[in-house]
Amino acid sequence: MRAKGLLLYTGRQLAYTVPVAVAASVLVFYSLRVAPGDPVNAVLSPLAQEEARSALRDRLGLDQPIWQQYFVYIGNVFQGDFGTSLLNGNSVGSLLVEFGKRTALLAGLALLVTYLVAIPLGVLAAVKRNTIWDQGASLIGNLGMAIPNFWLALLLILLFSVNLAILPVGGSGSASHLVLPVIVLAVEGIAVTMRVTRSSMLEQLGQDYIRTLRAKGLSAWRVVWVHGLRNALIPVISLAGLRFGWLLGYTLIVEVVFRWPGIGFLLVDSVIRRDYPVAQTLSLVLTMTVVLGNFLANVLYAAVDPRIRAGARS
Amino acid sequence: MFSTRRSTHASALALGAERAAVTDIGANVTVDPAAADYPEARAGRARTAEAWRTLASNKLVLIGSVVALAYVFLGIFGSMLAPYDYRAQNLADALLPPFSGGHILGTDQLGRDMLSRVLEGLRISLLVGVVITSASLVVGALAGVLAGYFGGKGDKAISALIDITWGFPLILVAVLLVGALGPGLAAMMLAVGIINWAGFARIIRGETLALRQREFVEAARALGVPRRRIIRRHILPHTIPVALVMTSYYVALAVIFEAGFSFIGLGAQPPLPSLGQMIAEGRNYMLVSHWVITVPGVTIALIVIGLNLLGDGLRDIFDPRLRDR
Amino acid sequence: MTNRSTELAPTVAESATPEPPSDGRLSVEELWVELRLRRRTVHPINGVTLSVERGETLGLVGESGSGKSMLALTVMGLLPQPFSKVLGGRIRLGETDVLALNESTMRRVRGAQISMVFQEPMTALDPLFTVGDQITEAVRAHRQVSRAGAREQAIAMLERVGIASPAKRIDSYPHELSGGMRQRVVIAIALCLRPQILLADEPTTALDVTVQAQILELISDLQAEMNMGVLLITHDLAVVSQVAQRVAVMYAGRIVEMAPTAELFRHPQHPYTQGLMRSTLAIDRTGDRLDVIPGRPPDLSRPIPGCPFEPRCERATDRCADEMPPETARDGDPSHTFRCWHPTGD
Repeated sequence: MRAKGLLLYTGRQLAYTVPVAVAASVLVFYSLRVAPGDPVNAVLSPLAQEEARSALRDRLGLDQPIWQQYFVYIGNVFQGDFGTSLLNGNSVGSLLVEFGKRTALLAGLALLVTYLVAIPLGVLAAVKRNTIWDQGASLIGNLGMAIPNFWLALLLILLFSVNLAILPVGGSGSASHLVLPVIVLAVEGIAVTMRVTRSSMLEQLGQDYIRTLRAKGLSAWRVVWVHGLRNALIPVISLAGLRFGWLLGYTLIVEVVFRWPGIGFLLVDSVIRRDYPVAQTLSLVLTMTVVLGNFLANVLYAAVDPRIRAGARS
Repeated sequence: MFSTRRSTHASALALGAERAAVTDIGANVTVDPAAADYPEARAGRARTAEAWRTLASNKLVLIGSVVALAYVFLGIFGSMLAPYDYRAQNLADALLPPFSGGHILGTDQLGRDMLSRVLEGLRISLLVGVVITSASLVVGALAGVLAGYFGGKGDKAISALIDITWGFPLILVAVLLVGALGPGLAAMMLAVGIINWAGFARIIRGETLALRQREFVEAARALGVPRRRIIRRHILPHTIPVALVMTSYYVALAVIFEAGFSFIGLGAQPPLPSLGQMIAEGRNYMLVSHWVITVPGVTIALIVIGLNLLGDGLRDIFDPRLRDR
Repeated sequence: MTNRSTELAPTVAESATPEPPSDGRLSVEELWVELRLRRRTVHPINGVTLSVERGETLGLVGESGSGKSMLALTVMGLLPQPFSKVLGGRIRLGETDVLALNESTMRRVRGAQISMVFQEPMTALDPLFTVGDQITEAVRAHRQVSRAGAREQAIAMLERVGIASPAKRIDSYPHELSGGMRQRVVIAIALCLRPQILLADEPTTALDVTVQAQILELISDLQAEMNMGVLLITHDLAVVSQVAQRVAVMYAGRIVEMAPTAELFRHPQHPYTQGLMRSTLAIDRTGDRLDVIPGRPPDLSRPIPGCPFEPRCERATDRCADEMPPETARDGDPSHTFRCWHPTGD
């Protein structure tokens, strides 16, 4: 692997990503500030004294023009000050860490499970095309994508937590609390990734170079798992960048259903209860995570496929 | 510059519209020029006839089409067919199981008829799903074709916009919009519209780029046919297959999204009975009367499966390479 | 097997697998192959018999759909499964019945004793691996060689096939090479283990004319050097006239004529062969129309009792439709055979 080509590519990607990140942050910031209704109502009752209200408004800097508020906010962010929750006075930064850890755990495990299950299944489905393996996998794939995950979550809760009583209903605290959320979160990812792997694999197996490889006298195992899979994974990796965003979105719902105290849960909660500083920062963080995720996926993509590094069309 | 990083495959694949090529085993079997899969070589009529034949023989498309049509039909006319007012509460008849007391699908915790509520919920999901997807399709197709055909700076700008928007999690945008606009259908529909157009634009731009290099387009240009006409008569019709396939998948996506978003309470607000919201409300009662969540859940699953099958079937029809699998 | 790698890398250890002594002759006898597609069954190969001696090039000529590529794939054991079935006949390399080998043994034959080169150089190589990796992979799949040793062999091989600066090029990716160079790499891969037989399926069709000549010459040279038998499959008579010692003409899965090259060109007996020759442009011919063989190749999904060329043949009689003509020698010369009831007699 030629490091120089990769570095150049990464640099180009970065130059592309930074403006996107900035633009995204502006949009996020702006959208929350244009909400109707007075944010101070979240904290103070509407009947409160005008003095108290204006004092609070002053403290939150809500009187300044929006673009100024933006820069103040960004400035604070870079200094590590993410603001304070209107509802319970906790520093948003600490909330971020506390809840973020849990989301990272959940999402990370789900990602792991997804790829560990989906890729081998996808390859098998492609290699044993039109057999029971393939059709079974297709079926699971179809169902996995069609069944709304929150519904599946409830069904699983019904089955395992209520009827069988072997897993907890919600919340966090132990490994068994993770089981159902991870499964539900992984299901959709497995369905999509497996389909992608399968069709990508099928496409690769039909390529000319596979013939050359077999004519060389390589074992079928090697042709499939070393050559075919590596080529087939390229769209999967490319897809991973996209999946990242989706994963975040689904995590949100799963957290709400299972009452898993993660960032998604906190975000929804804070939006509903109009806790703007929290909603603000969480949105920003999540947005940046998505942008970063895409960036990383692109770099990984280039690392795997030398043609991309060269700027050639794949 | 067209992002080569994510091929057409990746995006379409994300929605299940994979376009796998198959081993060309017939490499040296009899070549019959008349049977060559070169669409322009066939008469228009012959093409249509074959399309109908394949349509009928493809079970996936049939099932999917039936489901899709039923969905649209019920969505539009459902509220007229509903036996009860979806809002009518009757606590005495709360939590009746299906097929009892005049309620085919039972009642919920407030005595409201499930069937009527489901029908109303279908209407809402139809609204979000079909309406917004159609709008996204139009905008996306336009953007995609223009970007693909004319290239240049406009293309770069549109492509950049597509790249940024396309991969963005719908939910996040929707949550932000709720923050700006308050919970409800508006935020949801806006979010779906904002993100999904990019998906269409991407694919259609890709198709346009490919089509632009086809011989019949070159021929038209050589003849001096005005560009607008080329686009209208030669390019757009060829993007229809892809667009249809994608539409199926995207509507399914929108349905699921709407359900999920309403489930967490940020979408359709009570008393509007979004299917997702019905599940959320019924959660507390699912232990004793599971149908409160099963009925709406199965409905959603059926719609989505049907739409996915439709998409798969359409894709199989339009991509003849897959036929001899 | 006699020592094969002496010229390249004396450090290479021979694999421990004992191989049967062989004169390296590829012999196909009455081969019948069936292909089961989704909607119909076709018979691409119907009773083909031919042989390739060590050190000679047999040209196999025929139009698309005649079954020539299928034949090569069958010899390699690379017919698409599970659609294909060998209905009858034998394929032998020396004494070994290739068709009877199990997959694991066949694997060892491929690349090391029988190699194949395909038509499309642009897509023949794995785009994610360097050229060097792909050669060394072939070597190490069959021989116990160290990485360094294999790499040396690869560099030597690259040089042998005419790639400049092989030590640098070895780390190139396929997309960095031109079509001609890629085909050279493909040849390097095919020949790095000095197989006895090389099957070349239209190796130059996708290349520019000037590069074509170079590649053909390369194959010729390597053949002489390694004393290989080469089955050169092509639809181009000009190619065959340059490099093949013998030519077999294939039509609808059958060999309709076979002869030494010069003999075939001078005295084509089968109407199809004659038609082929006539329809080629010659530099000294003038005229305003190209001769064309009317009609189309037959549908291979239907069994044909008689001669498959009958519908298109101007000399055909009823007998031709009913009975497949047997193999006949021209004027008693066993090296020139054909299958026709009404040969041209030229």
